[in-house]
Amino acid sequence: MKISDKVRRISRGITEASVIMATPTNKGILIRLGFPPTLIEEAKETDIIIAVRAQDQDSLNLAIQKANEMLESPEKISSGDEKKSKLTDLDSALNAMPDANLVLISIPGEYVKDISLKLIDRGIHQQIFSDHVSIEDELEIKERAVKNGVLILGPGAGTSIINGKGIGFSNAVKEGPVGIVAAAGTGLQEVITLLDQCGIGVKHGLGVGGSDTKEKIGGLMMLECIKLLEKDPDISVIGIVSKPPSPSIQEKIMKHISQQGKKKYVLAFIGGRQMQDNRTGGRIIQVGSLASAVLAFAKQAGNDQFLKATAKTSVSQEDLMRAMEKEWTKLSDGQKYIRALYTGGTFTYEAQVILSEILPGSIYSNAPILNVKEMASSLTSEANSVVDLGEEEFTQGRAHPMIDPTIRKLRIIEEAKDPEVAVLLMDFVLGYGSHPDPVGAALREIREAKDLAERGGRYLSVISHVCGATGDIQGYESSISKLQSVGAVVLPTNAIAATGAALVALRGKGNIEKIYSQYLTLGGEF
Amino acid sequence: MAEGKKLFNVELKVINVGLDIFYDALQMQNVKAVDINWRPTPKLEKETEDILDKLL
Repeated sequence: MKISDKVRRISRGITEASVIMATPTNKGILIRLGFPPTLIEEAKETDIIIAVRAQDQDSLNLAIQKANEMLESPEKISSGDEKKSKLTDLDSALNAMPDANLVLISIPGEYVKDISLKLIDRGIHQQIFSDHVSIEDELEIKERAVKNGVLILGPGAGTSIINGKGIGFSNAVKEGPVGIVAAAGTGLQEVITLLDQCGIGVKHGLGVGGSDTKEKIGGLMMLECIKLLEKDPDISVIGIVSKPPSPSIQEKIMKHISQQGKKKYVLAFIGGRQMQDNRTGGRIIQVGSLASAVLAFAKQAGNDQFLKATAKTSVSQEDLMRAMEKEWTKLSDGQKYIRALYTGGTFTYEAQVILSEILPGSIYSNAPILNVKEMASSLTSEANSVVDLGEEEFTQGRAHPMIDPTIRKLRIIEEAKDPEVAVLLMDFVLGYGSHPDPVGAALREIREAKDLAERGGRYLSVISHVCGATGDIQGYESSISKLQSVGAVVLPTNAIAATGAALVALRGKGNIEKIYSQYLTLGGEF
Repeated sequence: MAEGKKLFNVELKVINVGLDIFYDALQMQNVKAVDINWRPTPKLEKETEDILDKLL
């Protein structure tokens, strides 16, 4: 995937380049990109395909030559790589940096345990982005880590902030009095960026991985992280951002923070109920969405911050209705479905929570929550579909869609061809680790999708949300402007965007009051 | 319980094993970091190593 990227950048004459393993998924993608099926199908699974589209023969030849060179000599992959490390193993790295206090691991899951256990024995904390670490290995790693006083963030943890510094996929947010433990990567990014926009800083955001709150792991690291945040004198509000944990783990966490916790808490269990624990005098607030979590953090920080957060991250029911009306009045009669194309897993989850409460018909997803049906094929949407393009079937042998937007670009056009589609709903995640311009990369396709619908006598509504901080290198404001320039609606949170999409598809009908009270505002009792 | 290295409220010193983009992100934030140019150990070699470990 790195070679593809390098080849694409060699010359302006190269319009598409994919240097990828010939897995069935990748072959399917290349065919959808318009490369000749007969040639593609000839490749065996162990082959590497070099697929290039260029505007002229010279660019084409150059691309193929460079791709071959990089395949033969991997050291040529990184241009200008005088900084490229000569360290090839852990021991030499530990010699080079004997006082290392954190190791960031993003290698195939099968190799993680050996490295992790070795580091635990040396007292070194770790963030493990790698997937496919078995639950048995995760338990062994975490049990040994707890005994040795070592923090294990992950496996499957893409995002953290430690001492105000972003680790992995993260955002340039200011440092402040908030500390968060998260088992939801893009969920953590949504909360920290929205807080940043409200002037509330985050000192630590610790991703523990989605399996930590399962019965088998028992919330081991979530509890360790909570204890650490309780001890840090700079932290005054602690948050938990997660899909709802298993009931026994949730009870264990609640018991710990209500009996031993001293600080203020915001518990955001996405899809869960909104409530305030009166026994703790309002010290603990529980909410059911990322959007309401931001309001709850602001509330815990003070009334001024709450007012600012409401103004910055909320849209009133009336304003949303008015804005969406401009969209739904342009639709044709047969257009009724939403197609959500997400790069963030937590956004996929949150959108399903909201859409399943409003939409009367069936909803399908490749990562379905309760009450949502599983898609027959992730490659083909049906009725209302919420697709997580970061799921394994899309990322085997290629980069995550937050890094490589190709797969979503294809999908935007495919969805636009369906005359029953009313709305495309999308997230754009900025920050460290993400594509250098995720919005810019999709603009041509959004324009083309709208044109395609127009040629068919329809209007395609595009509702989007940009998850980013003003300090992110991709440019938060400019990303929003670019989307607006091609006629996309940009809403301040993922939850509002999902609600807006539903309003458009339903022409303003649907139980929007319930969504507002449960997911988009903080109830009156707060 | 043993104590791990100090992590909070001290300077971060990070070893990156895997994706270069994460190393680049650390550099952009002026975090002290080293990058391991990691390659998987060939499977056969590991199996041979295991056999040798048992024999020697």
